[in-house]
Order: sequence, then structure tokens, then C-alpha cells
Amino acid sequence: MPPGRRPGRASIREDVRRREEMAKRGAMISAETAQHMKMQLRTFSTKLEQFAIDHKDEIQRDPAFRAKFHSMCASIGVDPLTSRKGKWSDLLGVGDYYYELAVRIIEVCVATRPTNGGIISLRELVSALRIRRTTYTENVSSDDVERALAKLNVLEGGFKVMMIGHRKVVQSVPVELSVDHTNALAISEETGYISASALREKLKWEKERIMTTLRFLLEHEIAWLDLQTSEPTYWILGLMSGSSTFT
Amino acid sequence: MSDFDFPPFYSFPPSFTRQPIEATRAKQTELWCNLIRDYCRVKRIFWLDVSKAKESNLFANPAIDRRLSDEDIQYFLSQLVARGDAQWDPDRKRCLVFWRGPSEWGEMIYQWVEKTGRNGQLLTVHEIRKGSATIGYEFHDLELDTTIKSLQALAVIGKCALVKGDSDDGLGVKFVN
Amino acid sequence: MEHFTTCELTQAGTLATLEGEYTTASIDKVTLVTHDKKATPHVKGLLTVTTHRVVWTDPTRRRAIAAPLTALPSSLQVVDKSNPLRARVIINFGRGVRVNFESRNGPRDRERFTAAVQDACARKEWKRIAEQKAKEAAEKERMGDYVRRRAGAGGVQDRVRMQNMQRRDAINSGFASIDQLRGQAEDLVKIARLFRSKTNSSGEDNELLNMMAEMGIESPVTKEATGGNVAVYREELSRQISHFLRKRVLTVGGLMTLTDAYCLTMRNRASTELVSPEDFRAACGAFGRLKLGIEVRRLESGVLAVYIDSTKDRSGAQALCDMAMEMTSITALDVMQKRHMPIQRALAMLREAEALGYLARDETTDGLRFFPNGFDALLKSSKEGRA
Repeated sequence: MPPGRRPGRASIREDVRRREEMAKRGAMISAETAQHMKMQLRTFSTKLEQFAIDHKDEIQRDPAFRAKFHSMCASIGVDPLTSRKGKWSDLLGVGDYYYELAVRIIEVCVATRPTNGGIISLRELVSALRIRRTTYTENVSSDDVERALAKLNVLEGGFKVMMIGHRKVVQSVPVELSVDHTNALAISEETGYISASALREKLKWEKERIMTTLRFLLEHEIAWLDLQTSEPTYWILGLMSGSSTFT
Repeated sequence: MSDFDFPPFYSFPPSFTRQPIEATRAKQTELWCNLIRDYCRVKRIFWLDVSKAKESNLFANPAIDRRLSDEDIQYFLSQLVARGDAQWDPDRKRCLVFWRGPSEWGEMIYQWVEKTGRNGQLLTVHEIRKGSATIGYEFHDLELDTTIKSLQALAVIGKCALVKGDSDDGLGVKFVN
Repeated sequence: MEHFTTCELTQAGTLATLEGEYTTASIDKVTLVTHDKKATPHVKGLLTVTTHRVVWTDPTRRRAIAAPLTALPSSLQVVDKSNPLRARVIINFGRGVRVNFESRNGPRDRERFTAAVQDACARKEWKRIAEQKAKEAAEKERMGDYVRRRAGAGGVQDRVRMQNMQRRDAINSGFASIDQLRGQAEDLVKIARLFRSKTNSSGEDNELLNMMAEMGIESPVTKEATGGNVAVYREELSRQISHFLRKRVLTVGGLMTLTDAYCLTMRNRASTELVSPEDFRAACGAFGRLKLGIEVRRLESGVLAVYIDSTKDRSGAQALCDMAMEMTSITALDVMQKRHMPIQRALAMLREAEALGYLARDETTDGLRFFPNGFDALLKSSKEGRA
């Protein structure tokens, strides 16, 4: 446009028309791509159905197969467990195993809460789930349990997995465990219990801090008291093997 | 007399210290009460003599070197009584443990009465407990006080009437349809 | 309309499914039209395709009619009769029923409906279930025979060895299949991602988001997509869950953690009807929008719970009145023990019942007791001959 001249009505109209055309073309491209994707999805669904017919049993019965399957999904960035109505769950039934497991995890945690205050080692949880097994969920692996637990996060019921010492521990109560608490609990790893002198020796704490921590663990039902030793000892039942069988 | 299979909590040291926190203590009480009842059921003990029990390994686990104190034994037995699962002797030296409830025993006896057509007959407690007709039944040789309690439970729901005899064992019972 | 008969709904207005039946598509704002001009119109209802039937539910969710897929011909079940102004098809029940898709996404709804009906007719789930049952019965019979004939260590060992061999083969082929599946899935994910990055906002976006949700590529944005399979499914779920939880939550004082509610709801369902925690969470999230009389609240501890305002609810108060009549009078401790709720909640419930006139209090040195109150209570007790 020559300088100094204002755009005439004709050129404005031209601009508008060009923009409209581009938008329309853009919309057509979008529509085309959407169509293309829809077709792909339909083809994929059919393949998934075939996969289901061939391997549905294995998903239910074989932890190794499940592990491979889930690592495949993770590597391409899909979560097959999000919705019962998602393609994976709907056609492959891969979700059912985990939803059932999630429910049983909740039940075990609720049942063992009076004994362990809502703190249970992952190993003990898996062990408890295996004992309560049905034919439907025979081979529970700790991978499976962790996957199911990850799904439970969305219900915000205080469920979380954490490290205490070298072990993975599942918490099922909305109690805030401080660094002091977890460090103290870590001391119980070898023996199953902690004591004031153990905390003093290994963590170099003074009396006030020791007493506060021990009292917290007792009051929250995480520790049981034993007065038949030279000094009082505090047993962390949730981290001991066999504690989940106290019914 | 069978060998008793102790439950898992019996092998955990803190189980033998009465827990100071109420919620934990409640769980501990439940575990001990169940243990006492199961132990009495398997060993077919009705009257639990406290001092005798102390000599057994019911309240002490030598493998882990832990035992319940005398006070704690009294405590847990009292809890058992409070739940209606046991009854103290007047001097608290013995405890009648209902590892099977009186009404359950009563029902068993009543079913035997019906099955053998003894309705309307006058029977003695002795017959029921020691008679040859009850051999093979679980309530055969049932402890005396427990038997009386069971029959009382039946009387309360109108399934029998108790008739006084010279001794407790001579006590008569008439079962009603 | 031929082949359509009245269909059973639950109290929440959802479909009472047959054995093994499940929904494959749910489409809102659908109108059914027949040849018969005198018939009642079926306007803008919810059209549901299941593995066994086609169901139309009226907008109030109180009436529903359904026709079995077995009544459709073996081919050309659905014929497209759309024009530029409206999306519609004819579904060949009897002399044909016209189906008008009247939502904003008419063409897409039509596609979904057609695909769902065709898939269901091809799959014949009703037949598969029957055959499966027969197969299982036969298998059981055969295994029984085999075990009887092969009783003895040798036979069992052989069988185990064979099974192990079969499993090993199966696992190897299974892993290869997973790799194959991976290739196909990856392509799909790539397209979805590419598309997402190119477009800003258009009507198609919603559809894409729905597809991504179905593929398990969730993000905060996909959760907002409406109308797709996942979203409609979750809305249905919302109604079902609210209906199921109502009484149970009131019984424990009007408050229950989401985790407990999930557990309770799942335990009441068959293993094929379980839902993911995300489904459950999303369904609960829709309570407010769908006005279902129950809501999600965050407790002080940070935990999520479902909550029903029991002050307006009389059934809880009536239940307490009944309890008081049975026990002559009740305390907060009684309610706490019998109903398994925290003592503060029990006390609050007693006060609420008192405020509604179901209970009267009596405060003595022994403590606070509540007696049954009200004309109803007197009437009931005099009827039963009590003082």
C-alpha cells in the first residue's frame, strides 16, 4: 500500500475475506485430522479387542505380564487405569484387577489400623493381601499394590507411600509425620522397636525431643509399649512381619 | 486334651504390657479375651483357676521371656467378665469362662431333647450331663454350673421349666414344646 | 412403537441392567418418531445403547422404554437419513423408528449411535454369555472326569507339566503381542499430541479430548470434556452412587470419607462393574451440578468426605426415635455404639432429632438422656399396648 494513503473499503473487505478463508481452511484441516484420528482409534480398538481375546487371562493371572504391559503403557505416556470406560479397561479389563485390589487394600488398612496406627510396611501389606486372596487376584506383586495405591491418591483419604529407612511404607491415615518421626521409625528397622537410648545414641537427640517423639508414636497407636525390658521399649508393629494377622 | 496353637500376637513382646493408650488397650483387650476363650475351648476348661493358669503358659510366653503381671491377668479376666463372656467366683480366684454361650449350650440340649422325643418328660441335670443317652454329644460331661446356666437360659425363653431337687445335680428339668 | 416395551429404572433414574449387560453409548437430547401420528412423542430424552438393548429414557428420568437388539435385522440395522439441517437415522425396529439427534453435536452423536448399534449387533454379547456359561459348565464336567480318571501322582504331574509348557508359550507370544500393541498405541498417542499442539479452540476439540480420555491420556483439560463416553458414563455413575450412598451415609451420621465410600460402593458391585478411583472421584464431583442432595467436603485433616445435611432429613431422626422407644431412652453413648459413629456426631444427631421434635431431653445428674417425643411416638406406644 502506498504510504500516506488510508486503506480503502475494498482492501478491508479483502482482508476480512482472506482471514475467513484461512479460518475455514484451518477448521477443515482440524476436522480432517479429527476424522483421521477417529478412524485410527476405531482400528486400534479392534486390535485391542483382539489382544483382549488372546491375553485377557494372562493379565489376570501373571504378574510378569502385567508388569510388562504397564511399563509399555508408561513408556508411551498412557495410563490404562484412569477410567473404567477408557478403551484399555473397557476392552481389555485391565482395570478390574486393580480396582478390586484397591478396595482390598483399603479393607486391610482399615482392619489393621487399631494395631499399627495406619502405618504398615509395603511388604506386610502385600503379605496380608496374599493371605486374603481370592482366585480372582491370586498373584499379587508389590508392583501391583503400588499401582493400585497410586490410583487411590485421587480419593484423598490420606493414603501415601513413603520411605522409612530402607523400606517402603504405606500410610493410610491423614497424620502429618515429621522428619523426626520418620527418622525415629527408621531406627526400628533391625529390631522392630525403638528406645530412648537408641534415639540418643543413633540420632544424638536430647531428652525433650526424644520424649515428644515417643509420646507422639504411642498416642497415634503406631507404637506399643513394652515395660519388661531394662528400659521401656516402643514396638512399631506395622513394620514387623506378621502384625497384620492380629484380627 | 489337645495342644494349643497360640495366635500371632502371643509372640509379640508388647502384648504382655498393659497399653497406656486407650485405643490400643482396647485392641489388646480384644486379643487377650479371644485368646482366653479359645484356650479354654480347646483345653475344655470351664472354671479357670487363676493360680493354676499362672503356672501354665496361657499368660506367659517363655520363648520371648514375657508374662502378664498378676494385676494385668485380673484386668483382662475382668474385661472378659464385663463382656458377658465369663463369670467370677465370689472370691475372684476362679473364673467360669463361657467359651460357648449358655444359650448356645441350651439350644444344643434342647435339640437333643426334641430329636429323641423327650419333650414333656422330667429329666435330671445329672442325666443330661452324664447319662448314657447323651454320649457323643458335645454337652456330654458338661461342667455343672455351665449346664445350670444353660438351662436357666432356656427357661427364660420358655423352653423348659426347672424343678428343685435335693442337690444341684438332682435338679429336675421339664422341656416344653 | 413396535418392539419397544416399558423398561425398568432404578430410583435414581438409571437403567436396571440385565445379567451381563452394560452400556456402550449414552446420547442425550434424542427424539424418537414413529409412523403413528397419534402416538405420544418421545422428545429429547436419553438414548442408551447397551450390549443387549436400545433404551430411551425421558428427560425426567422416570420413564423408559427399550427394544432388544435381537429384533433388528442382520444387516442394515441403521440407515442414515440426515440432511444438512438435521442429523437423523432410521433404526429398523419393525417398520422403522426415526431417531433425531438434537444436541449441538448431532452428526457426532449419530456416528456414535450407529457405531454402537452395529458393534453390539456384531458382537452378540447375549449369545456369548450363554455360550460362555455352557462352556464353563462343560469344562467343569470335563475336569471332573479327568481328575477322576487320572487320580494319582503321575496324572497330576503330567497335567501340571503340560500347563507349564502351555503357559511358557503363551507368555512368549504375549510379550510379542504387547510390543505390537505398543507400536499401534504409540502412533495414536503421537497424532493426539500433535493435534493438540496445533489447534487452539474449535468445536472439534471437545471430541478430541474425549478420545484422549478414552485412550488414557488424561490431563486437567481432558477432564472437562463433556459428552464423550467417559463423561456420560461418569454422570450416570454419579446418580447411581448418590442413590446407593444416601441411606448408608445418613446411618453413620451424615459424613463418610471418600475412601470408605468407594470401598462400600465397590463391595456392593459385581467384579465386572467396578470403577476406577478417578471415575468415582469425578462422579462425586458432579453431585453438586446434578443436584443430588449430597456433596463432597474437605475435612479439617485434609481428607475428602461425602456429606449429607442430616438436619433436613427426617429419616435419621425417626430412626433415633424408634431406638429410643425400644430402649425407653437413649444417650449419645448408645447411639455411638450402635451406629458406629464418633460421639460428637451422635450428640449432634440427637440434638437435631430433638429440634425436629422426635426426641425430648431429660438432663439429670446421671447425664443426658433422650426420650421419644411427639404425637406419633405416643400413638405408636399406645397401639402396642405399652404404658
